[in-house]
Amino acid sequence: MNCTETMELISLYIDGLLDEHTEQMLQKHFKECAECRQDYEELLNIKNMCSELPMLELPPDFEVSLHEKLVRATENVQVIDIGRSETFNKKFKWKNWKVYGSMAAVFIVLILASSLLNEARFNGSQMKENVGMESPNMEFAGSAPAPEAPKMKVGTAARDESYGAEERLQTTQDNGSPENRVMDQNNQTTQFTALEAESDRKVIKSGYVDLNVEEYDDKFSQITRITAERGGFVENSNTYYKQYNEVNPEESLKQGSLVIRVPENQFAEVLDHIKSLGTVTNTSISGQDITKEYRSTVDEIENLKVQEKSLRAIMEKATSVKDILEVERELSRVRGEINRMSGDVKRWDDLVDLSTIHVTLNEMSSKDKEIYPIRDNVWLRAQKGFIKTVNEMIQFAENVFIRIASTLPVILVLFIMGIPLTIYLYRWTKRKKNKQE
Amino acid sequence: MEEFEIELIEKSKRGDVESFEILIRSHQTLAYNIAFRMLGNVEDANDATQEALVKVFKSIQSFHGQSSFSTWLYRIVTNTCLDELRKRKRQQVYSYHNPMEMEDGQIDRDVVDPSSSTEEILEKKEEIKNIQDAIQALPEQHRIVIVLRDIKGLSYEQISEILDCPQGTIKSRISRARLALKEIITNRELYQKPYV
Ligand SMILES: [Zn+2]
Repeated sequence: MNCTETMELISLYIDGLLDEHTEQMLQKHFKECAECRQDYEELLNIKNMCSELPMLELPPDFEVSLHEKLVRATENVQVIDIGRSETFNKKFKWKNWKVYGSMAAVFIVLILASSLLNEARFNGSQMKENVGMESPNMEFAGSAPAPEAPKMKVGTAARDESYGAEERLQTTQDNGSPENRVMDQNNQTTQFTALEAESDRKVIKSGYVDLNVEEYDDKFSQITRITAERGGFVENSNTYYKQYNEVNPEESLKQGSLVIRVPENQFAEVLDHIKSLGTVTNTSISGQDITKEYRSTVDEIENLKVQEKSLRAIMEKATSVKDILEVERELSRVRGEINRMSGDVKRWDDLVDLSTIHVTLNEMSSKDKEIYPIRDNVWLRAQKGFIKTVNEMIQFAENVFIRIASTLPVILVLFIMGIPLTIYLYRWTKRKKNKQE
Repeated sequence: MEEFEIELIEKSKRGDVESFEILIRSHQTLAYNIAFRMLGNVEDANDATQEALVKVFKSIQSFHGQSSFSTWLYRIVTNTCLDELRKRKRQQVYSYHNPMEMEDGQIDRDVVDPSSSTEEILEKKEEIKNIQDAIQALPEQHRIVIVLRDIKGLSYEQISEILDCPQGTIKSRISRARLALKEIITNRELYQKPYV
């Protein structure tokens, strides 16, 4: 064995990883070669010094500061990100599937109950209705967007889910009493006031509006503005071309949706304002009473906190490692439950404090007043045309009247000033005539 | 993997901070010490360890037990340290000749036998300082294996898993790193002798 080979093997020899035969050959070389022996001794010495280097204790604030960062990391996931609505929506949906699931379940139960009773659809604490249909054909216009144009961006999964519940509801109501379908605005408001009257009830309010509008971008920004003005925010929105006009891109028609959240007390006003922006093709509001679930969850949290306290007391007395691990495991389970339930309560608070309004906007060409998506509904178009013509006639008559009315003072002034002038002129010419004679 | 550990991992995946803290409790001191030996000062070691542990927490969803949890954790810690060293290199703020920081007198308590004389204590302190400086002077790929193998005493198998390298590569890398470290120490001694 030569020195180069030896140098390559010293490291493994130090760690005792060589087989017996190689080890013996190495030892033999060390006896013969002082240089390699010295290298070996030095390397071994360094290794020993390394392993003797002290182990540092964690800085005193290590765990506290790490805990803060970890908590922040979990919060980041739950944070409401208005800017990037798509990512938020995924998280939101994932976090809230339970809430939505229970909402859907409550709706189904409601529908069954209402179809059985076939009368009182609103039982004082839970309700859901559909209002102001212009045409039965348009009922599903909101949930099934016009297929002509490919979606450029999709981001309303949560909304679709809620619509699913609505669709089911509509179907059952169609089987039942059709006159129930049409409700007037005043009724809605009364019902909400009735809800609020019951003190401390936890009701999640949601509204749905489908609108046909002209000038999509303008209406869209109006909605965002009113939302902001009323202390709300746009949770999620998406816009796409339903019909792209390649020759004249400015005439392309857009379609889109918004999910906005507004303070609960601003709900009715904001909803009305949005309705005034265009032609309402479908609208509904719903209120889900979660008071019972809410209270039982709050109670459960209290119980768990008591349990946690006693576990911590046990922990302090525990002596064996096995016991400590056991208690720690139980503690972490209890903590986890508390966290999960507190999360539910927080989410409910958020849903109750901030009502949700789902808006779909469907842009109409302002020139020919064509109504999408039911192009073949001639009667409706004729009706529209008739109304338009009548309106135009009224407008014309109004304009004529206004013209006349507005020029009236001028005529009056001229008339009043004209009488003495004419008399004077008449007399003047008469006098002149007399002079000439 | 232990059942207890599996349960904690599952809870951590669901975002339970407390479970995660129990899970890493037995690893964080070693993680911190690896970072300290890699980066050379307590502040950077603290920052890097915390950064790495938060990374572990955030990416625990992607941990499916391919390796042991500790191996996976130490891999993230070493990678974070290597990233930090790369960052330093780019910023050109670090000098190999910067003297190594001493950690608030802890050495005296931890290492030095109370029966040893003052002279011995001083000698020991000098020796520790020398070896720490020498380790800091090693290129990072050598430094990491010295830290894991010679300072922290991990096995070749563990190191090859943490660094995600075949064991053969690790063997030759450790061998080269040790020779390089010896070289640095010998050169310093030669350089320092005239002044002693
Ligand atoms: Zn030799």
